[in-house]
Amino acid sequence: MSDNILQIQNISKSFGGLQATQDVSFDVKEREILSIIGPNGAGKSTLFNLITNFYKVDSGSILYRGENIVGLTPDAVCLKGITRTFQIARPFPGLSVSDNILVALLAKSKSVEEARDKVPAILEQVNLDKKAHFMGGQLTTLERKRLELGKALATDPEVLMLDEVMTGLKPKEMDEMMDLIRELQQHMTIVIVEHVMRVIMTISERVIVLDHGRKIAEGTPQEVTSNPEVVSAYLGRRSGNAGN
Amino acid sequence: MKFSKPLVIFIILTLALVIAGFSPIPVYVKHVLILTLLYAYMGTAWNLMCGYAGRLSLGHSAFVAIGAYTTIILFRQITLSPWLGMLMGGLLAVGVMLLIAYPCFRFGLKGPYFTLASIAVMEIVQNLLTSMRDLTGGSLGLSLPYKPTSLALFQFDGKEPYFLIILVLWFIAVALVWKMERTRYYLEAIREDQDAAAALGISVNKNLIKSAVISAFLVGIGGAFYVQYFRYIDPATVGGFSIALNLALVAIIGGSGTILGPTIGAVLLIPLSEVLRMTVGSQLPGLHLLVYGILLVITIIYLPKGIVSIPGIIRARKIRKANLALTGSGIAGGSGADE
Repeated sequence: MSDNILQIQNISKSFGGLQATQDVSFDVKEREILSIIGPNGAGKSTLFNLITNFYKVDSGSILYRGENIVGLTPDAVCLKGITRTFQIARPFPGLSVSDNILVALLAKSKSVEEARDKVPAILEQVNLDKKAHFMGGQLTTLERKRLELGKALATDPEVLMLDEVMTGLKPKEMDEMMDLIRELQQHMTIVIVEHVMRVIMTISERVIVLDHGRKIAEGTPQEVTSNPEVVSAYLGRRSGNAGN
Repeated sequence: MKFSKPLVIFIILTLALVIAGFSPIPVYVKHVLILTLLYAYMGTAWNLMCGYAGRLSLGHSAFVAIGAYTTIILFRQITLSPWLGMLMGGLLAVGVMLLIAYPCFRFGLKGPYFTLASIAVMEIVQNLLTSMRDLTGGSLGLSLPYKPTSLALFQFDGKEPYFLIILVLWFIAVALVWKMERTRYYLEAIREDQDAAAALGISVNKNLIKSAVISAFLVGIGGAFYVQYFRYIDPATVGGFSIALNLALVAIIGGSGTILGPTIGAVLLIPLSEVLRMTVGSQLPGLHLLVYGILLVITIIYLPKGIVSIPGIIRARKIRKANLALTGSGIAGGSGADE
């Protein structure tokens, strides 16, 4: 039990008549890389929003180091040690790149000066040191993604939740990003929502598969990709297959 | 870092104002100076919530009116010292602000909707003041019973004491905003994207409410100063659109979301409107407002970030030219943090 940093227990969420998340349970182990995959609309981003309390769960509990964090505000969740990125990167467009990072550092810094001292190291880590004086809104999509990651890292998380950080990257950039994620794993637990199968197969230790808001499989990348239900979720069911 | 450029400007500005206020200038010029400082002070307060946090209020005169009426009513009814009245006015303004701000922020009212709500609040306060005739004198307003010069009663025959008081208030407001560096960053982040700010551990509601409370308190105190200085108020003047708009204008023209923007805006706009009123306005009634309006439109088109952005624009242009000359490819990038 003690090596489970995060325990998701039977959480459900519906929006009107749409059941976005249905009785999902899984554990996240300390310092692992866990991937969450599933077809479009499977509820991956909703799950992120539920864990970080951007959405309130209808039922179920989310334990972080044994403590139920359901009902906290998103900022309190971040202060506890769980930080998420957004699928569509959300830099503060009117602030400079270094101020974007500075703001992210502030919540856990004693003084603005202390935060300011840490900015260059993070800029370097996400390879944005040459863009420090650019405005957040002036960055390219790729740079925005790196800034998004930099902001998340600046909050010094214990659980880092990355929502599709690879989308739109070139193969070489993906390799760099994967190296960075592996490096980060030394210091934190990482939960990734990702579409790019190459990434999932390479870096994840375990994979959770969602479909229509339900968890349909869990296991190593190899186990999951050979699971017939997962294959049918991605490619469509044959007639006569049992639904549940 | 010890003497950043804005700090130098602030010190020079303060010294210049002190010298101006105590030099043998005509009384009318002193009056304009006091008016300028009053708007610089209240604009700085407005700017905290509306500039930094981006919750644009066009109804801040509600809090001016609350501060002014609280002070004068308490003085007239129970001869409470205007200094205490000032404090009460500020606190009452905070109370009313909380009543509005809490539900607005809690339910995520922003953009034009928040602005509309702020205007509605101003109208409500103005209507209440007009209808509570027994207490407020209705639309005829209230005048401050004359007392000879007395510090305890906040009444003076000359302009200098008023000048000194508003100078101190302005100084405190600017210094306060200056010291709130962390909060300023939080508010800017919230203005830019409040979900992204929350994801970084920034408490959106707490910081918004903090900015609103400080803003209302300072503006309420400004209202108290207003009534002590002008000695007469009515709901339309003190709680109407004109003050509300001027607060927003000095901040926006000067540079909203910057420490000295509202002050610079006030220093330019208030004397300008007075000069226009005396020169153009005396030729044809209302012409000064037309000229004033045209100048505002031009400023907003060419300097959307306000007058404080001029040095940055010049520097960026220089850097671009230098880069162009060196490499043939223009790379923008201003160095050195301004604020």
